[in-house]
Amino acid sequence: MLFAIGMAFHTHFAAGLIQFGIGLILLTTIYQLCLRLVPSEKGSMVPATFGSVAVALSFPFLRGEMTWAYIDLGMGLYITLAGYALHIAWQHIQNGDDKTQITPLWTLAALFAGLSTTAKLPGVFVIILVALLIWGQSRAAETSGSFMASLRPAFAGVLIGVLVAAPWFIRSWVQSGTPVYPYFGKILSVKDASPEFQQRLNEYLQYFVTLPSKQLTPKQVIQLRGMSCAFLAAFATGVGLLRSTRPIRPLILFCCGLTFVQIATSGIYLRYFLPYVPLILVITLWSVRRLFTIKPLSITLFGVSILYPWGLHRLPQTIKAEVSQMSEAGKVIFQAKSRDDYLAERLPGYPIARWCNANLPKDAIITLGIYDAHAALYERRTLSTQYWLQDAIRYHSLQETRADLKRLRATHLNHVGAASQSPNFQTRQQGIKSSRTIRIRPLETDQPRKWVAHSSRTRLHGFLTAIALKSNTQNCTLAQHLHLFLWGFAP
Amino acid sequence: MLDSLVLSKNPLLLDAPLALLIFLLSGAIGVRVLRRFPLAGISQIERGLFAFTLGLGIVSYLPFALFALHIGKPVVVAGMFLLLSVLFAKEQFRIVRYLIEQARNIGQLPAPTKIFGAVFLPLLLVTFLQALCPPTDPDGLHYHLTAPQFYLREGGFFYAPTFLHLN
Repeated sequence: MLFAIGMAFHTHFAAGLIQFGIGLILLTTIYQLCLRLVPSEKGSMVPATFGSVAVALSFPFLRGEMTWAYIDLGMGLYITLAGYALHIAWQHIQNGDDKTQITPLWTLAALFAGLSTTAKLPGVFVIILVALLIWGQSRAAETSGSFMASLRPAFAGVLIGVLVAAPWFIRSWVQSGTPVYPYFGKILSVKDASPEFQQRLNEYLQYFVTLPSKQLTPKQVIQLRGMSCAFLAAFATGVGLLRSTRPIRPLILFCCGLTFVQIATSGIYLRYFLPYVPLILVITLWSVRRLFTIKPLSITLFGVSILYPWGLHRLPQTIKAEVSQMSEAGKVIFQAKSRDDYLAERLPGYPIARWCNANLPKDAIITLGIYDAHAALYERRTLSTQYWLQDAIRYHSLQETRADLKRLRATHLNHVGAASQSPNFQTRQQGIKSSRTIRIRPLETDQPRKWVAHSSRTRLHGFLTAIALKSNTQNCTLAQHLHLFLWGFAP
Repeated sequence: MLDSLVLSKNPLLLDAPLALLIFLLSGAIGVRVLRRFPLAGISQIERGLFAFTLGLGIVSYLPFALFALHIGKPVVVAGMFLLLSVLFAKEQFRIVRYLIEQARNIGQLPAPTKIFGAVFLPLLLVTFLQALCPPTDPDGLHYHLTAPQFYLREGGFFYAPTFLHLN
């Protein structure tokens, strides 16, 4: 939603700046947390070194998203600060401080948990985890030993977290018929979310959200996720109970809980772990904190040994790439290169968006035939055709697809691709492959076969995936299928 | 969007100050809210981090509320944001003054921090310049930016068929 404020002032607001600012706050948070974790002695460089190393290690993970219009950094900031607040509360408990000093920190942790839900739906699990940790801390702080008294702050935590996120759930409920779109279709009347779609979405998570590059079978995915969850549960129990880890016990349990939930509910997809990376890194460094007290040389060697696999051996190439990126960015900022040229160089589909913005009527509704067709670049209403992630345009039959497009009042079809490769149906049935060209033609026109814009090199989803699944053919020429399928829309 | 009213198309002159204003307003609101929390045993920087983050969450509800009421046209969102900025000007001024004071004390930072800072400052600068460029990331262009664009154009939330992430 923060992007909306910038975009209210002008359409092409550099949304990456919001992410950059959030990234800076997150890096400062990591540094401050480290200063708190390592006791400071007069003249000691250990806390500062510890904090600096933690920031240095976190930066490569966060950097990419500090320039993108994503939301993981925001979620990461809320989660890190929720863990931070719980850690301070834990320190108060260990010092035997008064409860009036602890309760505000629990409230803050619950607020941040709620805010993490506003950034991304899996934040609901953060609310639950924070409440569980508040309960645990409350048990530890409760001198009377009353079970109900220790539960009260946890319930309050859940209530605060849910109240913070409630406007989003209500919005979704009013809009789509369920507070958590597209789920609860069996008990609620949810728009465009058939049981088949929910099954398809689950399949998508199975196929695409667990190490997609490894091409695992669904059975392997389940085994891997199960083993990872079992390991995390054992690790959290073992390490969490150690006397030596007592000072940071809430942080360890929080991190293990977050990763457990992530793997159990979604899968093993590296970007989804980004919000937890700062805390995981800080805990890992804390476990080897003695290294920082030995000798500066040890620290340097330790730092180099960690940084080496991250690309220190490719330093000259990295510097060259950085300089090139800086010069490119400089050209855009100082307007030696236009926004149009910058986008056209990087986005194969951009010429199509530009053509649509210049030529289509203002009330046109454009059906985007591919996933990375960049809906945000279109100054018209757009429809996504992704097979896995929507149910408003279905692909059981041509008639059904046409009826859906008519119902959605789609006036223009975005593309026809002439693909040179067919998807690998046998292993994954996913249909993400490179295509040589992507072209556009208006749907309602007296010259339906005339290409009006074209671009090259893109990835294909949506229609292609659907065709791939429909055709069930392993050696077909995808281009032929596309022609047959999409020509069917011609009036 | 208020494109026709925009004085400069240069992201360094327009977007960077605008983003700074968003963060300053967030910090200002967060500071005021955090006054209600009797937080003991935390440093001023920690308090600032809590305040900024809390404020970011609160500020994100500004366009949300306007979209929910179906009055979220660009002129209203921008106007309300500027109005809030004026209302919280005093706190923002204090934050800026505090940040300047901190910047002056940079020489007192511990040596390891200064060394790491010197190494990472150029990287941060490159990252900042990249952040000023138009976003080209797939998910961002598919729905993270599409959602606010849709809502600003319509002035409110609406059911967007085929966009799972917008519903």
